[in-house]
Amino acid sequence: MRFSDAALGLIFLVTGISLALYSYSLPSIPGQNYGAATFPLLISVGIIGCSARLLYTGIRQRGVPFVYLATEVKSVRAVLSVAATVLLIVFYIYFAGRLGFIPTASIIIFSMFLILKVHPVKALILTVIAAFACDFIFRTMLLVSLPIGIMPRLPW
Amino acid sequence: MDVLIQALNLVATWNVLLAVIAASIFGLFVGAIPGLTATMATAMLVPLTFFMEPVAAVGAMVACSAMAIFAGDIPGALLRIPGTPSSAAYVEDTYQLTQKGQAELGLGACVLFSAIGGLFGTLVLIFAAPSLAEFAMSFSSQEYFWMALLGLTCAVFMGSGSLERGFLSLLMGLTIGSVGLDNPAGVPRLTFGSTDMLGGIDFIPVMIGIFAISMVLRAAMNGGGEKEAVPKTVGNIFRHWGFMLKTYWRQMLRGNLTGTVIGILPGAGSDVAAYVSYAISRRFSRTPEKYETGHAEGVVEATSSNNASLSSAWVPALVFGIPGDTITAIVVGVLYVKGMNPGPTLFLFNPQTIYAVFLIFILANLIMIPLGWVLIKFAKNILRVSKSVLMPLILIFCIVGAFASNNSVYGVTIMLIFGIVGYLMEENDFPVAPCVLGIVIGPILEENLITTLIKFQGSLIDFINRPIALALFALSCLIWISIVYSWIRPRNEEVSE
Repeated sequence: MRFSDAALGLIFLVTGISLALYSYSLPSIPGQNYGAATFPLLISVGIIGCSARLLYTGIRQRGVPFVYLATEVKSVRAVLSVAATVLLIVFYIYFAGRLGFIPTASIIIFSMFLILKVHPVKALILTVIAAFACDFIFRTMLLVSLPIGIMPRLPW
Repeated sequence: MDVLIQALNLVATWNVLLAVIAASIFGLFVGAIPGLTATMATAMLVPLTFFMEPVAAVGAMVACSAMAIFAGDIPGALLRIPGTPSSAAYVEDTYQLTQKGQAELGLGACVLFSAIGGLFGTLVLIFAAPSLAEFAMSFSSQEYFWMALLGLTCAVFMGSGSLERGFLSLLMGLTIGSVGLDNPAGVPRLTFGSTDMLGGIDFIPVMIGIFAISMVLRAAMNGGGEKEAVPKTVGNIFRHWGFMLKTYWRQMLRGNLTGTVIGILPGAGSDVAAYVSYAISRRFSRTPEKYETGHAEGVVEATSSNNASLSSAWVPALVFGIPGDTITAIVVGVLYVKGMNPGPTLFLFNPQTIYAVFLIFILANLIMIPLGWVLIKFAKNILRVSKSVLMPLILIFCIVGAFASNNSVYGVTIMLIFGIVGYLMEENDFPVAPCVLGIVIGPILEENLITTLIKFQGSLIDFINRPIALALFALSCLIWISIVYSWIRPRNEEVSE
């Protein structure tokens, strides 16, 4: 997804102004003129300056839409694939604790294979191997407390 | 001498050697896959380094990044697709050599001169870093402030694309680095009421997101990409070594020197080194017309340069804690996690650890030759692995890695957010490197800015009251003036038209 210079300038201008307003509320070090606000204020000045320049160049480029897709990715499938990939990570965030690592990882890996048009049988075999291998490497070998969820404790 | 023996003892353990060899193989594999960069390989390795001893962890990263930079040459030579951006400068030559049936000449040059370049950069690191560290002991907050600012300025200036995009990328990085309680007043800043964010935004999920998740998203967008054509066979890569060393020793030396200098400069990485060296080589060549038609001369110089810069980029990272490129930015993060806080005191209190890292640099560049030879032999099989198969595996590895950074889904959330940010940044031509350097250098910059302001009660002139601070300020000014000039110049040209 591409944004025009004007759109980017506007987004960053709003961000810069918001950061500046927020920074004003931060306190100084007791007895000093400087503190938590100094650095973000300087950053916000930089953001406002650069966004003003982007906005200026953007306004001069007439006919460029605010947001557009690059020509090579103008297919519904491409956009849906990216959205699905993002949703799969969100799925992990919300369901890994309840379902456990292996079931969640299996769903994510298998769905991702299908999104990338891998043959389902090959995808299934690879999914099982990858989910169990990841679990073995991270939980058993590296002692990461991966969520167990509905899975029974594995013997290794 | 005692220090060196202690360092040898630290390196010569099974844990360290196994970590180095495993990381080397991982780096070679990732580097050889087109589109997967050395930085991404290093970022993906970070979660595994949590569970290693400090020397093994840093050693693994050294080996992985060196191998990945070299391995990027292989798909370039066989498929005309550079494996990493650092190999892009001379891809036309290596590919044309393969087309002429001389793949062993191009790839042999890549193996040999990558290893020599890496060793040269390491030697400079070994000799320059301790003396620089001694020198840096006298640095005060002013010098550190200007060093940090110079590093960030270079990161913007050296990057590709428009300067305002580079600056905005940097400012984004600085803002991300400002999140949390770690600020001069010790108050929650930009945390939006989240307790998870009080400790700041964890660097590791950010790196995994920006470098790896953005790539998975891109692969999803392109449907995984097509399978590449099977490459041609490669002959004996050692056959032309004698001839190349004899013919191209000048180019090798010049490449090593250029790469080392560019590596030391904060903000410029191995890709810049390769491009600059290739251009220099062409400029001074007696046969510049042969470049890009399958000529080994430019390849020798550029490949000598990119690996040299990789080693020397560690000089500012270790001595000042100011990373030279994205790879060392990640390494600096790991050094902090491992309690090896970079800076001159590291050389004073922990010299054996630093020398152990130096020894691993030498080891990694030496084992590059046999491992590189094996990789070239198996290149056909590795390049046949489809991205459609790799991406889901990379995705789950990233999720687990981000989760492992603090054992909660907070890491995964951060990874996802920065994956989308990284993807959008690349789509909109924002360079990623200034943002990453901003996250790492931002806190150093703020700390030294506030310390200096308080120390001199807000007097700005005192920022340049010491000779080195003044020199660094002058250098920064030069770069800023050239940036402002480049902003004004097009407008003047338009007016004159």
